[in-house]
Amino acid sequence: MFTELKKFVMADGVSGDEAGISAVLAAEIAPYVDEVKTDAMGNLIAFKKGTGKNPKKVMFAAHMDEIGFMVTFIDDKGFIRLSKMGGINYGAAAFSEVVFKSGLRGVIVPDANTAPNDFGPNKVYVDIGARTKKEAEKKVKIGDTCRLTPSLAKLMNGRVYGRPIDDRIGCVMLFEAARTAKHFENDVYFVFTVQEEVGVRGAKTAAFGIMPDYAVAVDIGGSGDVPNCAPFAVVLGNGIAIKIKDGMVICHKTMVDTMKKIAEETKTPYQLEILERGGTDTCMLQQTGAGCIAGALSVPTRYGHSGVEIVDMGDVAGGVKILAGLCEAELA
Amino acid sequence: MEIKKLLTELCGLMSVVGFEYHDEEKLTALVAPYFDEHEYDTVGNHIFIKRCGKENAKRLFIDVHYDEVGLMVKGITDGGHLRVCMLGGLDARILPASEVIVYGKETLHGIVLMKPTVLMDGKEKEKLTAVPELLVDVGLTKAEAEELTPIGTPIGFEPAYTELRGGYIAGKGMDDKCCAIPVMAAVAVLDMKELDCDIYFSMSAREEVGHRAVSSAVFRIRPDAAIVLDVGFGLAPEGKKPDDADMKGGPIVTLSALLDKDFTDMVIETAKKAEIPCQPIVDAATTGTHADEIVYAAGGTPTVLLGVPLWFMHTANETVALDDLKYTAKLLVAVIREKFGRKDG
Amino acid sequence: MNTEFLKSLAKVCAPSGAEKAAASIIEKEIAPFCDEVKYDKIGNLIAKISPKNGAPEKKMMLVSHMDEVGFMVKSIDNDGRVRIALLGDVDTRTLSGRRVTFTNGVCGIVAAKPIHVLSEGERSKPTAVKSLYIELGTKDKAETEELIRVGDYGTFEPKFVEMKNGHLAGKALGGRSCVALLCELIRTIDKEKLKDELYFVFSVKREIAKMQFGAETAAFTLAPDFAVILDATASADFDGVKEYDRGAKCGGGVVLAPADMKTIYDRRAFAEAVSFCEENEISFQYPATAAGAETEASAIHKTGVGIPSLSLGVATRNLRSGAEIISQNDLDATLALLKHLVK
Repeated sequence: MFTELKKFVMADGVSGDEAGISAVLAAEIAPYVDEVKTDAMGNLIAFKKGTGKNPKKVMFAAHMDEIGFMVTFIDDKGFIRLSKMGGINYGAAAFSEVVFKSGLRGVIVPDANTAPNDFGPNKVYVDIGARTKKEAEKKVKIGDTCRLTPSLAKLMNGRVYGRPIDDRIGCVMLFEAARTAKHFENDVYFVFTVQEEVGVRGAKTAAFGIMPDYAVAVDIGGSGDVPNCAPFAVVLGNGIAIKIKDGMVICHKTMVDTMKKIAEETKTPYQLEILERGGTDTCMLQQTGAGCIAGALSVPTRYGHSGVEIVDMGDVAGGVKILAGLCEAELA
Repeated sequence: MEIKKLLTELCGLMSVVGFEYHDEEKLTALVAPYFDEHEYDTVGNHIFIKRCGKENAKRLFIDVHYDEVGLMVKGITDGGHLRVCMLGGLDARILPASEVIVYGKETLHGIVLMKPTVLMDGKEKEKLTAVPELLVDVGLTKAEAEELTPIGTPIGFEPAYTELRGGYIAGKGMDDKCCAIPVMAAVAVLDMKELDCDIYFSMSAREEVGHRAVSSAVFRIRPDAAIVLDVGFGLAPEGKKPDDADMKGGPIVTLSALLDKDFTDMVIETAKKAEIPCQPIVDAATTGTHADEIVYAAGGTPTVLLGVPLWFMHTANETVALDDLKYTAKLLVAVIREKFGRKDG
Repeated sequence: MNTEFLKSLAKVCAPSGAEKAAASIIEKEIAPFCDEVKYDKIGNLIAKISPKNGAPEKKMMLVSHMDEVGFMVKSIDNDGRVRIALLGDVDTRTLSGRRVTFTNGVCGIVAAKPIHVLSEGERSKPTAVKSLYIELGTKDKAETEELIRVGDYGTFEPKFVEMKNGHLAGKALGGRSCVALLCELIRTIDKEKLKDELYFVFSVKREIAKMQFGAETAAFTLAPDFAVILDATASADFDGVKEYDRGAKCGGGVVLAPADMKTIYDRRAFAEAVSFCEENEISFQYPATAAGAETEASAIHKTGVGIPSLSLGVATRNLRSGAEIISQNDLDATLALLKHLVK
């Protein structure tokens, strides 16, 4: 799985500009499904027909976009102003390297005399080494996106760190589920959604097009085992987390119970997650159209939205088993 | 119809947001007799339908949210106490030493723990304990609690009701289940044969966590008009006019740019004609109720918003006046007759 | 572009929730040129134009909101003075001392605590809405209630001022100029050459929108393949504002935004619009910042299975005040691009 994760992490896909990662995912998953298509919003939808007697429409959603920046202004000296795409922490991004889709590199720097607490939009700029506006405009256009330089490396105990693990790790889980499911009882839609980081936008239209019976979002969560953090029951390495609630959704009981059952049957360790703030694609899956039975798997993650996100590949493998189980299960 | 009894039975049901299925049978037993059909949809809305018998009749959607604020277990300490999070915007001031019901594998009484002030220093005394730090004691060990009250277990207030002087009823869950009483009373009185509409009464789910479910019902039903009923702030000391409504002043009729102007004007005219007291109150741009979703969902629905004045919102002793429920029922009857009465005699 | 129709639009008093006055003059203006004109369930005015020859290739929606910021009567004091609640993000600094008009034509002056009793601190701050009142000159509550009642709607006083170099000023001018542009487009479309089916949506409730917009109900019902959203873009193109904080430049041409706070516009349509403007020497500009900006596209592009959207903006100084300023040059540039977009 590390090889796939590395491939997905390296592909670019800032929110709203996901063509790069979309092409990589489409090529990787195509051998394991019947059809791969893109909807009007840009969501990548891989479909595998079920062979069961009473197949249900099951939708898995992992977002393929990542947080990053968009160019909004270039000044006379060639310095570039940005607008953030998604919940980037300007403090964590300042004095880092950014890379554009063309491969062009730059560094992101705060305005002189700006205190770290004041880092924010129009208080930071990108220096690409240009001497004039004209020179910069040859390489960069208004509306172009850039991102923190991607990376991925192994740590102790099967843990990995880098960026953007959010949510390329979810993409890996969907891919692995498509590859390893023993058979497909249900009609399964593996959906790689766009624009999650800027306000869960893609999942809404994807779900509307599919109108699933069951839907599972796969995304990163938190980890309550780092020094001085608030009490949080989910910890890295104790198994995949089955979401009960986050700031935007209370998951459907049937979905929670079904995933727990699969975990118990396959002897997969799991944890139950209650997040009080923030949200994922799950809320959109549940609300779209006449509604569906929606839930989510969260990969316990340390330091989300930074350049050094950490996950435990053991947790990830457990999540894949539950997703595969949903492909194989007879659902009511 | 015995309003008081029905009110306490209905509000007494456990309907903590996200767990609207918990007392489904009891709810059905209470409400279904007033209607022809009952559906329970995927996202938790209970929909009761009363038909006029005409083909292609118009569809009137009446919304009362069925869910109520509560708590949920989010962790268990080594001491066996339950760590909790809020479901909906509970009034956190009332929590220390509150009695609660924990709906685990067994239904258990719980008490919210608090550090006594004698053990606090001056500054600590002035602050309210934040909900993430609150613990609920159910008298269990950690192992027992993990078995009986696992993460995700809902917690609600005890269904105990008191009648105050002057026809006020106090207890949990009035927001918004008390508004179902006037709807049922109105349906009991209306002769459907005289109407040109089917009534879809949605006791909707998940309002308290951001209005998450009602648009799914609207998407399926595609109503021609909607009446939303939700509780509003009753005037109390240090509350203020013109935002708050008088208790026993009759239903609130919300004036808002969000809502349908003609329909709203018609409601006020109808109340005037029928001499039913009502209280027009401005909520100019947005109402904070299900109306905000219903207006825009699935192609849009002309919507009005009525309210029942209520004291002590989001506590275990929400209080309403029986008079206001009666006025609201009367107004509903008059409005539905005016809007959907058969014109052919 | 001829500004006569814009002039009559600018004088209409039609805040969010009370758009009928605007709707009826738009309807009258465009009806002769459209195949169908109707209202949806929440009051959006929807006009359809179909190609003369052959079946339509695609369904395109063009949107401009017809409402404006304003206020609603919240209560009436015993002395007859009127207390209000705002409709939309009215710039409250501009309220005090202004003339306002109710939809029934009654006029008043917005007033607050007189200046000679203000403390130093109060002088440097905008007056809170709850401290403002409208003076009608009436002697008591009963007399005021003969003129207006709680729940009535009002706006800034209608005005239309022509200034030097094609600049125009008045209330609601940014939004209404977009309405006028769509009406002009409707009047001049060549139906013989048209390939797509066009739906023009004059939407309601835009200014009070938080998460949801009036236009999204039309988008849901029509389910178009593509949407163009016209709206005012904020402009602060003057000294004292940093270059990258100025928004759009009044007179700088049609505003093309790659993204704003709530929408990432269709990347292909955006790139095509930019190159069309470049090739045909239509003046265009990018807004210098995305901070705070949003349009009805935020709801439209996520409607149904998703609707690729493009935003065209008219740079507007003093946005959401009683005296918005726009440039006729920008209207001409926007119209030229619009004519290219409808095929």
